[in-house]
Amino acid sequence: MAQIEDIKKVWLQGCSTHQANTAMVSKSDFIDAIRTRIKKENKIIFEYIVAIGVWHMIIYAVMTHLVVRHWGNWHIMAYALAGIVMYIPYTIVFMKRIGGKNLRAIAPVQGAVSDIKSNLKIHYQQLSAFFRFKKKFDFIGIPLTCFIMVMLLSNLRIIPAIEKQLAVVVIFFVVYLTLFITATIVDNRKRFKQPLKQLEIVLKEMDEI
Amino acid sequence: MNKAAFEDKFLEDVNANIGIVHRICNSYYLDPDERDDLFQDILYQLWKSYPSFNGDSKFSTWMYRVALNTAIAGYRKQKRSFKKESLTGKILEVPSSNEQQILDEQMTLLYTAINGLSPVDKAIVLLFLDECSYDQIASIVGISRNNVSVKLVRIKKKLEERLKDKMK
Repeated sequence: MAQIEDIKKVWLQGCSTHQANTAMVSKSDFIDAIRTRIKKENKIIFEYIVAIGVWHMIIYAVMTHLVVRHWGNWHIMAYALAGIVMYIPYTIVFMKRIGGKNLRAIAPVQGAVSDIKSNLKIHYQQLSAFFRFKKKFDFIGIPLTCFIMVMLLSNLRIIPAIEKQLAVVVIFFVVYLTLFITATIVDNRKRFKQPLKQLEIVLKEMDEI
Repeated sequence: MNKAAFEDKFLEDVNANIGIVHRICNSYYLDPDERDDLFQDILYQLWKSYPSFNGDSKFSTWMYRVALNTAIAGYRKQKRSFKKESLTGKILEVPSSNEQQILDEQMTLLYTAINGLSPVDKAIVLLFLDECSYDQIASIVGISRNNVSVKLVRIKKKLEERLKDKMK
């Protein structure tokens, strides 16, 4: 059956009789499938909320606590307030995407009218727009977060004061920065780079003649 | 329409065209777990999108669009050690005639050959084999008719070569 016409003949004949092509979906199968998928989707959203949402809540809680606890200590108050102000725009964008709708591995189908390419393009644009924003935030946010954390630790005397042992403070800053950058690279690769690359390949292939 | 009736209507429409979902799953993944996973994904996406189906196109065309979109967008590298017998596993349980057995083997061979194509090529060849016109393929995939025609020439050649190799 190496000729396309023979292939088509086998295909059409096989599709109507091949059991793997004809098994129906019972109501219980359907309910099970929907339940499983909802669980899977909730897990993705939950992971995302845990990864980012809880981190934001910790930042706000700790910074607010420091402001209240060290009221009058302008150094600590300034760093803590800077931390809060810096995270607000990111939290707003995050809240808009709280449903995780732009972070699913599978492109949500936009409705009956759009074709596959348009759907994939929309999914690609949404994902890359969020990734662009995240990269910009990370570029400024990560060093600033590390700086604020180290300065607060130094002011709280958890690590030596900056005036006394600058080298130790710098080492702490570098360690925090390395940890943050590594975690961000791993997360970006999993959530953004790989899915975007996959979508890029498919879209490029669709355009090729 | 109440929820139960809506679900029944959905299942009736989907089951009338369930072959589309099976053919897509069998073509995109050879591993049974990955196939089941995709089957569930497609069913879920169909269910979620069902209220937006307004009857502008045929139900089967709409179903192709949703199912192929799900398969392509969620496409991931396949596990290396899939159980090859699984595709025919269910069939072997059913007593079948010699003629039917040959046809089943040919179908398995065909699915394996299609599986080696890229996600987009798989979508195009599936639509072609299911007797969709070039215009229909172009409208479902979202590329020009000319592009469909050029791609199909290449895909047919690839498929023929793959089948020749597999039959050797």
